[in-house]
Amino acid sequence: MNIQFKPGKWLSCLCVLTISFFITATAFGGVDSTLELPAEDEIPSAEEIARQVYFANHFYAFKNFSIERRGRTMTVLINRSSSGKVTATALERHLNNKYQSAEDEVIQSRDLAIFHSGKLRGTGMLITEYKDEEKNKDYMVWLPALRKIRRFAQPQHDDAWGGSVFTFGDVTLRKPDDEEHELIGKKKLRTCLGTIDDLEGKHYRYAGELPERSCRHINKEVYGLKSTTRFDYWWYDYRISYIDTTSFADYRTLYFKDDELIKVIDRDWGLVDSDREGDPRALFWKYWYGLDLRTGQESWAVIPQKVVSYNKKRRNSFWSEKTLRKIKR
Amino acid sequence: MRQIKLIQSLFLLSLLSSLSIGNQLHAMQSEYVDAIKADYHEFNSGTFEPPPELTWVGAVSTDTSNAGLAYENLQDFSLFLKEASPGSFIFYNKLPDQYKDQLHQQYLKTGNLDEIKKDIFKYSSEIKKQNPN
Repeated sequence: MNIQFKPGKWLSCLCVLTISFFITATAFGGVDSTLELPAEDEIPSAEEIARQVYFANHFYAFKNFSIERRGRTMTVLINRSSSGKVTATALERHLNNKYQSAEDEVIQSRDLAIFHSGKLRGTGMLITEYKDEEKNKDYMVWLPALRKIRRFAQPQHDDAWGGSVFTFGDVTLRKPDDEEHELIGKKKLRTCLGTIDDLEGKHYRYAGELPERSCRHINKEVYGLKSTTRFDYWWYDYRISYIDTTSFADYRTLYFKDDELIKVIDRDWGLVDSDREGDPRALFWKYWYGLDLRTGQESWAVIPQKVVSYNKKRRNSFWSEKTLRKIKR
Repeated sequence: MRQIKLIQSLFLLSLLSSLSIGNQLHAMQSEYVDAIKADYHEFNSGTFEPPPELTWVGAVSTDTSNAGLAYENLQDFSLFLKEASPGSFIFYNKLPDQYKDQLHQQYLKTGNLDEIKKDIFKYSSEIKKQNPN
């Protein structure tokens, strides 16, 4: 059997494996934009908390949500390997949760990502999530070198994204039903959220000035949620998440294997608009930080506030193959 | 022959040590991990015992009741603003307490310092209009 190396195919696989964690609204796991906030006077069940966290992380509070390009400012993901080598990828992303017309009613959401730097420069990806959970998601990738669109299968939960410490399960694919949940308590968050410390406050290409570590969540009330995986022989046994008791923002997740802490993910959240008197879950990520304790590898995704926009008047046709084809190399 | 063996063993030693360094967390990461472990233990013990190094706890004192200043009270927020944006702080400092409280709460929710700066000038001009003298 002859096995030929096909650069196009290789690049395609790379695209699927490195699609950003910003593409999140791809699995709804029984949660959608109609999920209501629990009553204020009662402590929700562990399962209910997991569903609320899913709601916040998939931006169901918005009709559409974008982290776009504003001039030269973009979202950037910085990876630092255990040897100290630093790489960065800039990207934009647009999510649409509003599909109500008769022809679109089978669609749950569509998500468009465009990469602007690194090996994936000029690559675009459009993901379609259907309301029918049995139906597979569509992954369409625009390959600039070939000037063609290719379709792909959904990545694995434990696939690392673009060499980062985040997996597809961490950021996109894991549904509340994939784990058993247990509420272990309620307390105050005591520490600042992590960053790549020697890059704090420094000017960085695309993102401008990188943020300082976020300490403003200290002393906020959080639930401790223990989530034990239902998958066999999995890379972690359980994880502990720190979840804001009001907004259901998950500030921190600790991953354990054989009762040893193996990985940490911190997320800094911000309310999109302080005047917005509505849903406390209408939040966005300001940054994600991940540390793999087994290797010392770090990842830091920074989303500058000025690139965030939501509920924009955009036609659904924006989330289509046509937009992918328009991407400039 | 002995020399070659010596060189070989030295090479192996240096290779092994470089591998182990690669797998170790650097000092700052270790401080961060110590802090989050201390935070996690509070779920079991019910009390927070800060780690020896306080850089990730946002505190300058070891007083656990006050651990984590983190702009939780207005005074801390004012100090933070003074350092982060001295120009805006001049206007902020002249605002009545109710406006300061409002800005503090807004910062805790949004974390958007640019928006806070805009609001400081907005409130300053509002007050100036109300009291032209």
